[in-house]
Amino acid sequence: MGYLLDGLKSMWTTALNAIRPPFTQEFPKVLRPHPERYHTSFALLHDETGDEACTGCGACARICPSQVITVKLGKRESAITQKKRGYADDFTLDLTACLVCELCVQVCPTDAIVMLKVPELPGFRREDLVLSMPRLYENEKSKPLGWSNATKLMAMQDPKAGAAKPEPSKETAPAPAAAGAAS
Amino acid sequence: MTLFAWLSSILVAVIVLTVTAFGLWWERKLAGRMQSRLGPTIVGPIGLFQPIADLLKLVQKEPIIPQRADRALFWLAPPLTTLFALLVAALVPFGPKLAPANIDVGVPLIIALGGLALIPVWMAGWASHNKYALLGAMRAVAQSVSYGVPLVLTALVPVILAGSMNLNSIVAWQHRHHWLVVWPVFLGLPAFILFILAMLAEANRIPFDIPEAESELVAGVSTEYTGMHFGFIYLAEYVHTLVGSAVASTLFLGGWDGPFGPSVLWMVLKTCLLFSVLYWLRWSLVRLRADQLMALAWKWLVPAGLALVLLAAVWTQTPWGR
Amino acid sequence: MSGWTGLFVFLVVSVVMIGGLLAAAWMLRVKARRDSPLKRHAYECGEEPDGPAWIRFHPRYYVVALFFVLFDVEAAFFFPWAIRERALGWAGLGSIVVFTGVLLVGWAYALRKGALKWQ
Repeated sequence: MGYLLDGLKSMWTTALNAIRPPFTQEFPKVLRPHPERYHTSFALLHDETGDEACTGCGACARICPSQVITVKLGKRESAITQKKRGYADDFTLDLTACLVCELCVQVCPTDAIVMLKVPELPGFRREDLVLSMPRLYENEKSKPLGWSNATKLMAMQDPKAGAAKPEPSKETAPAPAAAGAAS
Repeated sequence: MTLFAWLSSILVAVIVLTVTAFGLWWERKLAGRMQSRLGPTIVGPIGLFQPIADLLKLVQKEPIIPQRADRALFWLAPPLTTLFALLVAALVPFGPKLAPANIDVGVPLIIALGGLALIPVWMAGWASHNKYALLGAMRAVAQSVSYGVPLVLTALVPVILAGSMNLNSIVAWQHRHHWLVVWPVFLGLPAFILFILAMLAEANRIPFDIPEAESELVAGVSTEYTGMHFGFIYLAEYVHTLVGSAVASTLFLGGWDGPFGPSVLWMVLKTCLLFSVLYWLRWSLVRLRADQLMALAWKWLVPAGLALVLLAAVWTQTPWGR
Repeated sequence: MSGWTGLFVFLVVSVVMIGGLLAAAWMLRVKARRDSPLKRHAYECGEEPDGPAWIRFHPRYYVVALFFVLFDVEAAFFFPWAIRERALGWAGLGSIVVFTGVLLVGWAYALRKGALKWQ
């Protein structure tokens, strides 16, 4: 008897659900509104001279807890400033195991690597989730960048500056390009 | 005559398989909405080609036969389940003329064929040489056998009232008088509900799905099956439910009888409606325990079925039921 | 007679359809490049299969089978009576009530004895 009553109750619930609009959002088609500090996926930036900002130092690869970054250091003359400096000959970031901890962004001495505001679309092959160097530079141009870079993240952790500025997100939020805000 | 037999057979088989395929889609869509999800959306418009994609996927899978399985039985069982489930459809009249097999002993034959579908399930469970499969098969047999009795008894009610075991005559009787669930309602409605319950149990559907109870028996009989053979077991279950709803609508809901329009449409409409209600039940109710299931069959449904049969007999002797 | 021809024709059609699906599955099947004996083990949630699966069963299944035979045979006796129900009249009804009554006594006895319990 109890089963019957409960069964009728649950049938009522399912019937109501069936005529209500569903909660599911179709992820790739409809993107959820994200908070402003939302970060995912990566991009490599160019510096103010238009050269690649990454010096290939490999700090990100060393700090990465899941070791998904591989950097190959190369030294050559810059085509723009004619000075000899380090470059990343190859830079690969494997998103399949990435924890999205943002440590690589934090340690970057040249603010070269930043995170994005929009997620990478799901792929059908593993290679779709491996960010090669061309894809990382492509992301800089084609996708909205997140609020942070190394300078800002380190400033947040500075005891003096951090106490003075309890809400760093407010001032940094309107500048997603993250180029001029560094002081 | 023979040409007509071929055509109507092919037509009915195609109708049943198509409706089953899109019934799969419909069920997943309905289940999704009942759980505030969307259901399939990717393959085709509103996911309409999902069953075709599923079929193509199943067909391509590697067939794996377990080491110690009885190979011949293992291979033979799933196609046979589908065959027997499908064969029942031959006896259901989809229209006054559109019944591939218009047989005078239709009702007992349907129940016999439905019961025959048990044997391949048992074959599959035994041949898999897997404990889950064997337990599932054992339970399936015990359950279907138990619910076969109320199924027969409730199917007797329309037989008594119409005075015929031919399904087409039963529908014709309902066409002349009333649909059985409408009048006599005190006979038709309980018999209909009991028939639906027993039919669900025979087809091993939720809430009577202890033979494949995912949370205890992995997948029951289909545990060891891969590819199309798994698909056949799955398909058989759906065909069984679909044909069961067709039989129920023939016996109790007036079959092809409708106020206007082509009769086939009415039959398909009623069947699909009943099919949807069964899915509604499926996605709302929780599974009964094995002992509750058996108690329900033997302690309640069997005496209730007997009482209904006697009541129907008395009713036909009264001046109103003559 | 035509009904049975129809059933036979339908049988042939269904066999052809199912056979076609089987043939399609056979032709399109994927063959693994390397075969592994592990793949062909019986599935026991990742454990090594423990002993044969063809084991003995609880006798309650046997009791259910007995009951099924009993009641189904009885139901089979109902059918010929059912189609002639109106013609047989009250006499036919009386005899079937006696028939059912005997069965119900048996059923009540089984219930008393606990044979219908699934323990």
